[in-house]
Amino acid sequence: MIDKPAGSPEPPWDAARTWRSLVRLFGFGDRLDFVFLESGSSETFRAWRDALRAHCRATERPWSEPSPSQKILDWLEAERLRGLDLERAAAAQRPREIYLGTIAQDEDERFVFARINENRDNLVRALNGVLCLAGTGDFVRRLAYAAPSVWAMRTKSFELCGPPPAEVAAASSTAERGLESLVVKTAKESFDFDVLLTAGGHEESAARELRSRLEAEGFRCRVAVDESGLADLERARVVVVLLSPTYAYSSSWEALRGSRLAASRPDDLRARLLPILIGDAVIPGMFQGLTPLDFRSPESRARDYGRLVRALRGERDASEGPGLTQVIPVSSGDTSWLDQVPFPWVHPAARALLDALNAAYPHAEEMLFVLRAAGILTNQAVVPASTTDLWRWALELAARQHRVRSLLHRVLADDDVSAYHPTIRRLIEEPSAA
Amino acid sequence: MATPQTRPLTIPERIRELRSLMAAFTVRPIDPANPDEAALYFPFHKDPGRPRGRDPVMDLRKTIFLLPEQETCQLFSGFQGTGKSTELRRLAGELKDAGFLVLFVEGGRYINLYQPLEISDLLLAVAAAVGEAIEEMVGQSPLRQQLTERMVEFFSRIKLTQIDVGLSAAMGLDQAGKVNLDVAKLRLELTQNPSFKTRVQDALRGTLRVFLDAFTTFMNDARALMTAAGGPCPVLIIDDLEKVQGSGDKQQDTVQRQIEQIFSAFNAALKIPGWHTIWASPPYLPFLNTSIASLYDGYTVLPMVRLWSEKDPRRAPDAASLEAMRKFLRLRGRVDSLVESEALLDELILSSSGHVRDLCRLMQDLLREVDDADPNGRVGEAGVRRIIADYVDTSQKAIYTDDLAFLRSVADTRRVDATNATQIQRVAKLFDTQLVMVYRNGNEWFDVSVPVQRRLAR
Repeated sequence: MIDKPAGSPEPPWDAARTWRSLVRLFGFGDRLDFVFLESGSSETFRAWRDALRAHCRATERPWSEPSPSQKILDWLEAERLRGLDLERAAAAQRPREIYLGTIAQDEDERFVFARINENRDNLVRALNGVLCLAGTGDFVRRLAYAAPSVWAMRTKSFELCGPPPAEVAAASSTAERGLESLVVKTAKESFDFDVLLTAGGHEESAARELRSRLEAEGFRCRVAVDESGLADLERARVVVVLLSPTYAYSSSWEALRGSRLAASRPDDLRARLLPILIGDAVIPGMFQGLTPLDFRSPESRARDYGRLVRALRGERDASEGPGLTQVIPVSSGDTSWLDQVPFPWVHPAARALLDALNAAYPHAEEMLFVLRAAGILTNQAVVPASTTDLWRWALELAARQHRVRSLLHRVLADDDVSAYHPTIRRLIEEPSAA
Repeated sequence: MATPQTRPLTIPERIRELRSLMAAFTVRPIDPANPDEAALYFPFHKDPGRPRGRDPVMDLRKTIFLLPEQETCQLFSGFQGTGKSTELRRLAGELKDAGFLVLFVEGGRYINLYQPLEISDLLLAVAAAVGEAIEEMVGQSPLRQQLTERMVEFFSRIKLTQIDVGLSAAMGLDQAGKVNLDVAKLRLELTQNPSFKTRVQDALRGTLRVFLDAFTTFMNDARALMTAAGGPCPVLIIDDLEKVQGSGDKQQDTVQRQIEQIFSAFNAALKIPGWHTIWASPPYLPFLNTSIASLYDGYTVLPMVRLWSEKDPRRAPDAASLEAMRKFLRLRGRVDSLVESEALLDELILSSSGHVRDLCRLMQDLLREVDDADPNGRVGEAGVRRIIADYVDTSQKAIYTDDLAFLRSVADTRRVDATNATQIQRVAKLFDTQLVMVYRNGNEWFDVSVPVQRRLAR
């Protein structure tokens, strides 16, 4: 009835127009836009993501995406918290940021949709820019039904039927090469450098700035935008992780634990990892006993940059205490099993604790509440198939944050699960030896 | 059509204008009672074409005006994005101007809209909202302490203090012996802590009668604190309840049944003695209970803006409705300067199916299409049709092939016939995804959205 007769052919998909519309969205708006990207294949989507990321870098527009090991809900929650901080700092001057998260079509998809749906208003309050949610197949249809509140607020949906325009794709590929930032590549060259800097998407400029300073001192450096490929790392004198709220330190640590470097020199592993604080919203205890350097103020940055350089040179300075390798304590065998990192599943009481917690809190919502009440940063939960798996994940998370005891104290303060208190008290008293 | 310009805009001026239009078309509720926002409100009900039927809140207002001193309870329903919150805010403003005390509650601040809802936690949330609203109104006056005492008494009677240790501490006497209460904490627990909510539901389920008595007493006390005896009843407007939804089909079904139970079986509890109450309700409610309207003092549905006639199988555009929509757009800025002709503006209007939020969305797409490097840049026919094609394509993605037969019957009969639970659940989804719309000229009637019309015509 309106502008074309029924049955007239649909206009052919136009990559250049899709590109223009997307880029226009990035720069034009004054609140959070929900944009859906649907592509037939993951290769097509990756080509678009690379092109969009390169575009944002070239135009200095903030870009964020989950690191490879980060779940989309964890990432969104971290971005939300960061957004609230930014809003408090400078609401009016905030640039529009681009957030791109892919939602895998698996058994968790509906859960992810539901959580994003119920957090729609929280996200709108905290974030400014464009939140692109991407998926394959009938992604948009599934989202429309499972996340009606988000659907009702949608700004636009794009179907990516083919690669981005040729000129854009070529430019983005050059940009990626120029950055030398993909660890997959860097790892292969790992015998050639002294320092590997890893950082989340927002921290890339900080990493590059540090790299140029260190290179001026004569160190050979590489920058990695995330921890992907750390598993291939064979050698690096020091791996420096620049920390902000959006960057998951524990993911880097987990990746390094599985690396060839860890396999060849396991005793050295922790001595090679050095966190540097560049933002405030970090969780106490997340460094697993490491003492991070502090780059948050000009004074502390000047002081700790000196420490970093001296440590890289293998120098020791009595006034500053031990050098890098010594400031990093490693969990000892004498530590109580409740304080061990990672969570010691080999301990006989560990499994019993898992069973008790699972019986006490058989629902995911209750479990999440207890975790948060114990001060454990859960963001949003990763939800595996069963609550037993969920509790297994939760205990590992609590151990990484050194909060297993806090968790148990919280459980013991909950009269609703008093039936399980005697069991849990007994398990707490278990000796550390397995 | 366009306001004549004394001189052409410079590029920076044009960009500022485009940004201002972008903000004006941002999807959000407007408060017509707020002088800063009143200019953006367009009263469709006052337009000669009456494309939305009569004043959607007139019945609600009249019921209260005619029975000022007697409690009333009414429902206000409509689809997401039609402007319910805007209309309810307008009603609140009008009632305030008429001398009523009005408490406007954004349900989402007190209720977790994405979890199953029971009468107990709904009314508990209302108590918290009323407490907080009155706290805000009385400031630090002696009334505040009296209110706090009433609330503590209420929470003690329903034994809420035994449900959560943290809340108990927040509600007890402080060291100086002064009653202390943290309503904000209660609100946070109700919305953010599903475990707390479940425990409240479990605990209150067994003592519902005691709870309802305590709630009535508290609301009576709150009213007595705020209004003179014998004066008009205060008005309580609870928005957002139509947004309550579950995660997944199973929970969605549960939520729909609970909502139906709340509005049907507990309609007496929703009618609060001494108060005029208006509850936002989901549009699928009459399908679950056909006699729902008879249980209340008023039931109003906010329709879409009607762009064609119910009886016209060809859906020829209605000239008066189109003109009303043009006025709605022009209220927000020089929209005619964005397109090459008024006919193109009309095409955008018609594509929206009369859904105000979707029209705003289309206008934002139009703004993105305008060449901001050209102060006189306008979007031509090709550009407008691309925008519409994108919009239609996106909306069509929400259509499941299984629903096509049902959608075709709505398109043909302009009615929605849902006879069993599965169908009602699907209807609720079709409402949520704005594939089926409700209109009014005289009576209510339904039709499929333009993207669905296109899909059916294929």
